[in-house]
Amino acid sequence: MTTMMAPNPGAVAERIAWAKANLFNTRGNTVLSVGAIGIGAVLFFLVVRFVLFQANWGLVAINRKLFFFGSYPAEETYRIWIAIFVGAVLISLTYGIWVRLMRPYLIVIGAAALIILTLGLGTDAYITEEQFTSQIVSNGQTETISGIDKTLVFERGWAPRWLHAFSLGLAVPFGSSWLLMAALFAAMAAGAWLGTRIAGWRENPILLQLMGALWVLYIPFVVVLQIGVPTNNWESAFLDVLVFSVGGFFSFILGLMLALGRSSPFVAIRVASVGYIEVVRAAPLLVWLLFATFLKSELGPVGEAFSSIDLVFRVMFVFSFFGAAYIAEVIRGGLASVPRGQREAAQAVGLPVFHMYALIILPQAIKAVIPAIIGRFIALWKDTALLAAISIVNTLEKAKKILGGQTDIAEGAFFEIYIIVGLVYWVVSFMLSKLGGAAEARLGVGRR
Amino acid sequence: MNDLLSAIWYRGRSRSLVINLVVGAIAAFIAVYIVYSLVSNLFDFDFLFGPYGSPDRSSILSVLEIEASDPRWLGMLKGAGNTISVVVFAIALSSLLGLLIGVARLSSNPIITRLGRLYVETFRNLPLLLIMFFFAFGAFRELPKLGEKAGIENLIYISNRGVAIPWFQGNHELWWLWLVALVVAVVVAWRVQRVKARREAYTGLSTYANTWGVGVFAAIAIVSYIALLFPVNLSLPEVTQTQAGFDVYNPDKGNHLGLGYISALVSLTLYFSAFIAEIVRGSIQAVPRGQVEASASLGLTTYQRFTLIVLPQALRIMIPSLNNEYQNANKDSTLAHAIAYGEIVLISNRIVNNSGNLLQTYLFIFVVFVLTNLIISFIMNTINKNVQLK
Repeated sequence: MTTMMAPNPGAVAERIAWAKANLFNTRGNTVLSVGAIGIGAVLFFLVVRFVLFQANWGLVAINRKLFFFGSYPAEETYRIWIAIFVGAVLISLTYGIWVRLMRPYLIVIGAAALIILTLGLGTDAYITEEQFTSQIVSNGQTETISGIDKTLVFERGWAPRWLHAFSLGLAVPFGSSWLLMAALFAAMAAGAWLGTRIAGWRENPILLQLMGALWVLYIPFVVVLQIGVPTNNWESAFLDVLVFSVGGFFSFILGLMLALGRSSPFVAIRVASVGYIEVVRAAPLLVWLLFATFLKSELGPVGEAFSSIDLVFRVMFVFSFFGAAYIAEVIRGGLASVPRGQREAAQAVGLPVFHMYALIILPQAIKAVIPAIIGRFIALWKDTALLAAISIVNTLEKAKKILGGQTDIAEGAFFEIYIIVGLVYWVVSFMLSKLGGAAEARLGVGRR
Repeated sequence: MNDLLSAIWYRGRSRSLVINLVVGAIAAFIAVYIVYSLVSNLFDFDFLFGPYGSPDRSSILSVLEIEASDPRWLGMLKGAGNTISVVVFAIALSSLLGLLIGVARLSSNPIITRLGRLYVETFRNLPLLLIMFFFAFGAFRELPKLGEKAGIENLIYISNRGVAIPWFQGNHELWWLWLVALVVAVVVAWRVQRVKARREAYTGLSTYANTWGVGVFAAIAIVSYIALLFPVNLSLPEVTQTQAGFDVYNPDKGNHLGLGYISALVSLTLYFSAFIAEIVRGSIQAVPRGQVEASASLGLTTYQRFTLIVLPQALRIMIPSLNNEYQNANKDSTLAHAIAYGEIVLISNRIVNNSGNLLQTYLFIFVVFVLTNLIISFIMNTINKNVQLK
């Protein structure tokens, strides 16, 4: 990467010299460079033209609540907001304690807050419906037709129209008041600041156990928070995140158990674990999801009991058990990477089996495969899109529904809506992959 | 009593016996339960001989198009054929594209590197189903209408109803004998090339092994083509009109690739080429630097360095990961059922809807994926055995 940077960004002559040395040094390279610049320029031109001038972001803005909360009852959304606030503070706290780079964190939060507070101030988009009647003359007869006229209305703040529409689509995605967003960012900054304050104790086992316990309790807490809201109102990005969190949580626990079972000294446990892992991995996730959807009485009383569970929970069940088989394989690799001497030393000092695994083997094994586990979580997150294939209303299915004419004014905004849905999935997996990369660099996995 | 229990528990052998028995009994119970449920349903195979019901014409090959009168077992087999017909081409295309982009990411040209990175980061972080929806329900619906005859006249047509390409058409009943002849030609040409190449390696005299191989193949192909009285000819696609005045692809000419097939193929290719590009990049980076430097000091050109020194060594590293990725591509092809491509899951679901035999039908899907993954694994392991150092 260092060679890509011009030595002195200010000097034009040096930049030209750098370009000559790196881009136009041979005839072949010149052709490649010109071609690549051409492709890049065309891509850039198309994207900018679409985003700024062609796209109708207002149509996204109108549907923004649907993307994130779906048909969640408006008076109950405080449950989701509590979950978001607690999660954001937890993330910030963890970041503050272990990463401790306050400046980039505050810059990102501040920039986001600035955009939302300035552009989002007083902005809104909605559809007005007006009854209209008009008279037309056909075949010499006068007919009166009446209907509902729908118009898209922007209420803008100070920003120019294109910037304003763009900010509606992107900067106020949660469709809530800017005050709430500001509070969220303030809470995140405060959490990160608190984290750096107590970072001195990060080797302290009590702090470690406390943070671990908070994280472990967080996901059940989010699910428990939803009790009282009917599951068919769990929709869109909220549902994706919920299925991903619950699926990831249980698939890690189950996967850990399966990986340990696979290396167990008892033949029966070993065979059962291997059999389970191989059977689950043999078929695609979609087939398991469809099987769980269609299963009625075919598997006797067990099948009937299973089919009586709510579909959303059945899906979470499938995600947990499917993901577990893959995570078990990853953790098995980690277990194999722990030197034999560690186990022998633990046995030599007389540690019981439980302590040997909990204190000696598992910390080293899991540390070695954290990037691979994050890779599995990325796959699991992207797999939540599959819910659209079994007609559960996740973000993707919601987009299809919006385009299918819930508000007929959104018809034809296909690319705008798909770009936003794509961003929802893309941003999360991109951030997870960056996290994996950072973990890899930090733990020095590839470098030993 | 307590003493007896603790004596059993704390003696190593008896403890392992107890645990094995208990866990084994639970696992055996679950296994027996599943097998019993299967067996109590499974011997009902009559549904397989009922008619499939609705026709499904989304496949690439006309032999795989499912007619309403087909028995259900044939429908399922054709569905599996449809899956394979999309997976094979998706794997081939994504490998080519992935190789290209993986190499581009290691180029000395920073612009090319960044374009490659943009590509990989875009498609690797998007769900495959979203890409499929994007093409099937959006991008490809914006293509020109069939009547506009976009593409090259009489060679290839692109429209929002799919793509029509030239295809082979049998001239008489025994045209498939020519395919047999072509397979024989490949085997013979490969042997000839091997023998010639070995002689070149022993004697050092140039034997033109590759030229000989191509020549032998061409000779056998042409001679058998004439001997079988011109078994196939190329049939070019055509846009015609129905009696009602609608534009359609002429079903008797060329081959019509439906929108479902094209969308599935393009999405699988884009998505998996991003992963394969990362595998290619990692494998090339894992080749020791000294190899490149040594070959450079011997005066090999960049192209020679890459094809003769780096790529053969990188292949050894990448094949196990590629095996994994190809199996993923095979399994993820099931997503195409959501865009109405008539692959195995879609066909099976229709059968389940009509007949209700869930377990038998899904067992068939399971078996198909186990078998196809075994085949991929077998092929990749064979290649692996051949490229490893002996």
